[in-house]
Amino acid sequence: MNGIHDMGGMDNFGAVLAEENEPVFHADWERQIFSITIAMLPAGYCNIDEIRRITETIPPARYLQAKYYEKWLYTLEKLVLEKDILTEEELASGKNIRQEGGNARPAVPREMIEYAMSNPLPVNLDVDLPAKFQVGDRVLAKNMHPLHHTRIPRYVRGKRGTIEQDHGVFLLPDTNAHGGPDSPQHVYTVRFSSRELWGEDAPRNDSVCIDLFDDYMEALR
Amino acid sequence: MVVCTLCSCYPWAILGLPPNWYKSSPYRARVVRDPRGVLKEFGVEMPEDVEVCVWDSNAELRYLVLPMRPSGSENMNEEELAALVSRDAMIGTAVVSLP
Repeated sequence: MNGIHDMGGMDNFGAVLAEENEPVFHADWERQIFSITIAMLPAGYCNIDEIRRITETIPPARYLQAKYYEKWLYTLEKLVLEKDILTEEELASGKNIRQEGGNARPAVPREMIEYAMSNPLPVNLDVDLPAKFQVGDRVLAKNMHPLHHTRIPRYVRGKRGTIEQDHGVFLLPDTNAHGGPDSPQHVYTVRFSSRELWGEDAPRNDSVCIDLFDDYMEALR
Repeated sequence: MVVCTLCSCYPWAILGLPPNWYKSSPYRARVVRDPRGVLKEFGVEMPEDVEVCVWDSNAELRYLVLPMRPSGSENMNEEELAALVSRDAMIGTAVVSLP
């Protein structure tokens, strides 16, 4: 959807501020929320596209003002309700009211953690599907504005680019974030010149490379 | 330069977790549109004849920059060269230079 998260190209956010000697986590709760959310994946509760879809529903003002891991906390709270791991009452009270009811089940066992983190499941699919485009093709990113989750940002829609590389087959996030159906298709790195994206005042020699799915593009003759 | 304009995707498995600035609105919004301005803020001036390309990691591929080897480092071995490389150089907001 055309949410606040889709911020590539927006102006007036100010300088990029880097913190000196920044710790990985600023507080213990950040580490905990991060770990629990990540564990949802090998525990089989959800996929990464669903996690992103939920994060994108944070109301705009809250999204912009939140500290980074506050967005993760929002997402985790919504996720445990959506997947019936906790009820609203359990979430609010912090009490295990249903005694492991709903979809609650043991998460990743401690002895599995290191293995799970060092051997993430590949997300590219080992299938032989025809590609819609070839390297070198000129393409037009679609003028699509779905209300559902998508990974084509606004700043490339309607712009012309060139296929640089075919990365193989992946599940389209647009459906994978919403319970399917599975839509396996090719993903390509597509290069757009900066002038194509931002107008004639942009530097002549610069470009943006972005990964687009078959469904995000049309052929340019 | 590498960014995730839509969220905060980053090559965790190789670089660890990203710095806060990488995940911030200013970086996510600005680097695809004005990479040279962002580089200036990081103290890097890129000549006009050098092509700057920003990679938006919006799908499941993850990217990092192989930093350019600095001139004057021809006699350095692998260990010495590795000591020169910084995390920021692998995101693309720093260049590698001799100490």
